[in-house]
Amino acid sequence: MKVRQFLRDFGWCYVFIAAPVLVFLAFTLYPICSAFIMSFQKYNVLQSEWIGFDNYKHIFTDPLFGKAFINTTIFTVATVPVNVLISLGLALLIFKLGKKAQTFFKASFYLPAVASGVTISLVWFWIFDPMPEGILNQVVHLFGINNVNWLGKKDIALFSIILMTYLGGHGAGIILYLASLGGIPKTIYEAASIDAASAWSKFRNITWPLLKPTTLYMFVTGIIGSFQVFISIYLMTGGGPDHATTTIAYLIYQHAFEYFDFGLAAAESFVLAFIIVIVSVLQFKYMGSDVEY
Amino acid sequence: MRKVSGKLEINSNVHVDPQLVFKERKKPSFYIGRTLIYIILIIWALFTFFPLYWMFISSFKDANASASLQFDIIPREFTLDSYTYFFQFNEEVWRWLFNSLFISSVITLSNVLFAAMAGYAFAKLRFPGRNTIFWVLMCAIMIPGQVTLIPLYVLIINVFNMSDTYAAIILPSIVTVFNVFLMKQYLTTIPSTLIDAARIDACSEFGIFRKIILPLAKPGLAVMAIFTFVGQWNDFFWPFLVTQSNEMRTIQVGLASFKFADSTQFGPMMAGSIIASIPMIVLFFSLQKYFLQGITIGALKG
Amino acid sequence: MSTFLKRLSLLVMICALIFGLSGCSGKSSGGGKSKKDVVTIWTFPVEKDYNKNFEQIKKDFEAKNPDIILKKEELTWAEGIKKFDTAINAGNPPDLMFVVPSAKYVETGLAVPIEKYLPKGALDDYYPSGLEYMKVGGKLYGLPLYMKLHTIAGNPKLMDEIGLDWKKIQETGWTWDEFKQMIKAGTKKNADGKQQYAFVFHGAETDPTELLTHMLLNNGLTSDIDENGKYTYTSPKFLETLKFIRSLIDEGLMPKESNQITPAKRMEYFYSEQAMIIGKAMPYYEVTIGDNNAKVKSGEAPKGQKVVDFALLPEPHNEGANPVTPGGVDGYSMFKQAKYKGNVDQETHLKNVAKALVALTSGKAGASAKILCLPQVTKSGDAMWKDKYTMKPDNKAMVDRLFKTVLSPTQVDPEKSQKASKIFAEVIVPKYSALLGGDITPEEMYQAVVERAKEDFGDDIVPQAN
Repeated sequence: MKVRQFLRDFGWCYVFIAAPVLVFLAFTLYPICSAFIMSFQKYNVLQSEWIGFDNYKHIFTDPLFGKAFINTTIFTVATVPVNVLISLGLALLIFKLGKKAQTFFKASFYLPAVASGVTISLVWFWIFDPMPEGILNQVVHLFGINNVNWLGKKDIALFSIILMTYLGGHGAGIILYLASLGGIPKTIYEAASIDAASAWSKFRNITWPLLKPTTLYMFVTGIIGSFQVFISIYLMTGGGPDHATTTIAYLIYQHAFEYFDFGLAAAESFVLAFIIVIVSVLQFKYMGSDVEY
Repeated sequence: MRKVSGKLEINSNVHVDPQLVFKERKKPSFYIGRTLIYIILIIWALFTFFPLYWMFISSFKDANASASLQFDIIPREFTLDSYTYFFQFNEEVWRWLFNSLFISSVITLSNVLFAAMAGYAFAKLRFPGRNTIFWVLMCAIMIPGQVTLIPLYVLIINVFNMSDTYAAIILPSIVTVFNVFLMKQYLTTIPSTLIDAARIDACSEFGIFRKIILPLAKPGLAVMAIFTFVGQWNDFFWPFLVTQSNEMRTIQVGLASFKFADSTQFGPMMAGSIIASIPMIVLFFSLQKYFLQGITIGALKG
Repeated sequence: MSTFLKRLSLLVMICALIFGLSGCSGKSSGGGKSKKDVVTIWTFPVEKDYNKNFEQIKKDFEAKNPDIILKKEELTWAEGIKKFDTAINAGNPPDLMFVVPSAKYVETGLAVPIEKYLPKGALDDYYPSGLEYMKVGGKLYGLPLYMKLHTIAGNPKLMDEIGLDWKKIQETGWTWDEFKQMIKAGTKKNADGKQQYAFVFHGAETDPTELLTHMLLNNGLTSDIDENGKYTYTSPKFLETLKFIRSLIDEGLMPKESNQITPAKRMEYFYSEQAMIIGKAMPYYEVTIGDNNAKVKSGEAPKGQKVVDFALLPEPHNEGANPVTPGGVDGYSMFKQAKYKGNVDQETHLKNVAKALVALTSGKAGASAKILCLPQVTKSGDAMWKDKYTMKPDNKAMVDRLFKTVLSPTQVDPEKSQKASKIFAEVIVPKYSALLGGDITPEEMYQAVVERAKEDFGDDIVPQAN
């Protein structure tokens, strides 16, 4: 009887979430458990050797991992909040425009996502070209600064990678914010206008709270992405010079595919995941209060 | 849970210009400020758009042109050579395009449906284990994929024996946690009062979902659809990994074969990329009217 | 969304799942035939006509061996190796892979020493120098397809302008000091008023440390582990080499942004006469440069690029050291699966794979070497293709000359080799980039290498000071 009552009350709920749960059980659970076991082994496809916590010990005593951790943290702190705010700002500006202008801007900011990765990395190499022809160098020349070796100098390389994120890639965030902005009923703003509220007040009390769920999404996925940043490092600097741009994800890749030391890579992955989970939980606590209109 | 009511507290220290409320005359500095902002916007937009432009002009170059960092803004060369070369490159080029189209469409449709359902459940329904299950799912995306790649490969190829099939590419992405999370966040703002009212009206759960939630969620669904389609279309490594025969390749894998050991046939690669981007552009423009649907829900009460 | 649309998409989904799950796939219809042994081969677009050449070899082979089928998959250069790395670590490598065997593959236990599976006498066809490159720890794991030659090359017009007797250098070679002396005048403003550099060597994107490895070879450090099993980069010669490279930048012969010069950039500088000598250079560049010259003539190349000539030059060697041409091979290596399942027993299968391996690397397969302007690796290849090379005669003569000073690699214990590779990837590569960029000094880099070598090798290192 209890079971039937349970199903009647909650059956539908479980049906609704069935798909992702099944996908998880089928395709995610086994790899994660497998990787977890690997982290306690020296992996070999034929015969892995159990080595207990050695991999983890190695991580916490390795100065290279420490450097990678610092680089990754700097990168995350410098890119995620700024880029979320840039996306929000651009979306707010675009939202006020007429339909045709909106379409133009939405397309220009988002469509580059369809460009091939090869093109994008070529364009970035051209922008960061250290010789006088490089785009950025031509720009700073106008301000009287000489050639900068953007990706080739220890102190500037990480900053250049961060700059890469500022200059592009906001399209998705803009589209998302625009959709959320569109979801706020105009009636609320109208009611506020009648109460003679200022533009800032409207933003602070209506827009921002109602955008919080989207902002939380942007922050959480942004942080997951930036902690795992790998591709741009791999293509542009190879982790150098002298490890100035080595991130944890890049180390994981090196250990996995350059040395086939999957056990160590697995251990690093779990340490990284642990950090991400902690940060995400904190974000949910801080920004996760539900707001409805 | 805070509810934003229709009435706002006004801080009496804030100077409220009555003229602003009635949206009439604005100071000239306002216009100057706005114009400046829009000039920056336009420059930024053009800058972001530049790679696409470059792809476009490169596709009209000769089939043997190499990728050059030196180039002319207004191209001096215009030929359809690369396009013909691209279509003749391999007998399966059309099949590659079809594969990508089929796979991305199926994945997009399935994500739209299942992520919306799951997102709704996590956002609005209450049931035992809701938070735990959600967090377990979230953990899946917090673990970097480099290492889980090997066991997943073993799973798909050895255990499920799905090598070289559409299923191998589609099934792991039928519904992603990113999309579930997205829909959960998007749907949180829908007032529970609406849902409760519908329940009182003896509407079935699925009926509520269909008649109330989905229409309200259209912008979110449209966004999720375009993101998923583009993401899947551009995915290179996983389809590359699990397919072996020429017929089963996706277009991204096919495009990569224009790179030889010492040279790249850049023209045809770009021509192919332009062709490959057409479905995404079409989808974008047809969905984008959903991105901004203003909603007036008359029955709201604070 | 209307009910209809919803139901429709549900229907599409279900159909798609059934469609996909029922294995609507690319499994070739021939795979199910019983009794025929299937040899899986993963390869790359080695040269423009490789598909054609491969099909030809496949046809001939299957005609001669009716109970074997060759199944080819063509990987892409982008991430192709990563796919192989994934497959081998999942226990499923192909039988033959276009890759040079290395310690990390041998350590998986799935690389197959081929000598006992080769048909009798097959090895006699191969030149020994090529075979040495396919060995790890003394055991042979594959066969070479062509020899690679890396060197530097110059623009004859620019070299003549400063009176550099490059024809003589082609025959006699040059020492490091002679090199610096003779190319010095090459850094100047060129005829267009743009900055020209005497020597441009790439330092980013692919193989950023190539200049370093080339110069180490030409300073007597021919292997990171010597025949006695000692790590050699702790030798003072290593520091000497670092200082030499650094001096090239300090004296203005190489641009100071060298650590961010990509191969593409280097070629562009060559085309616009901003680089007198470039590295690395391969014989095949004669073809690429020729193609670009054609575009310049027809007006399709970006403005500023010129028609340039191309002359291969030997790399400079240190006084007292032997000149060495950095070489290597590309070829196929043999592997076995963790859980073998096939139509015949494993021993027979491995013998068949070896047969295929020979067919893919000798005789007709020499066409690839010819197209790439590289030396043949087999006598049968030489016999078939020697007269068909289409290179300019003096460049071909240079190729033959360079071939003579290619060294065979020292055979090293795989475990030590792995340790040395780690030092290379974790210390040398990152610090070299910083050295080029001027962020650290040669002494600092050398110190870092020595410290790490002491940690990893203990006393098994070449002593630092004399």
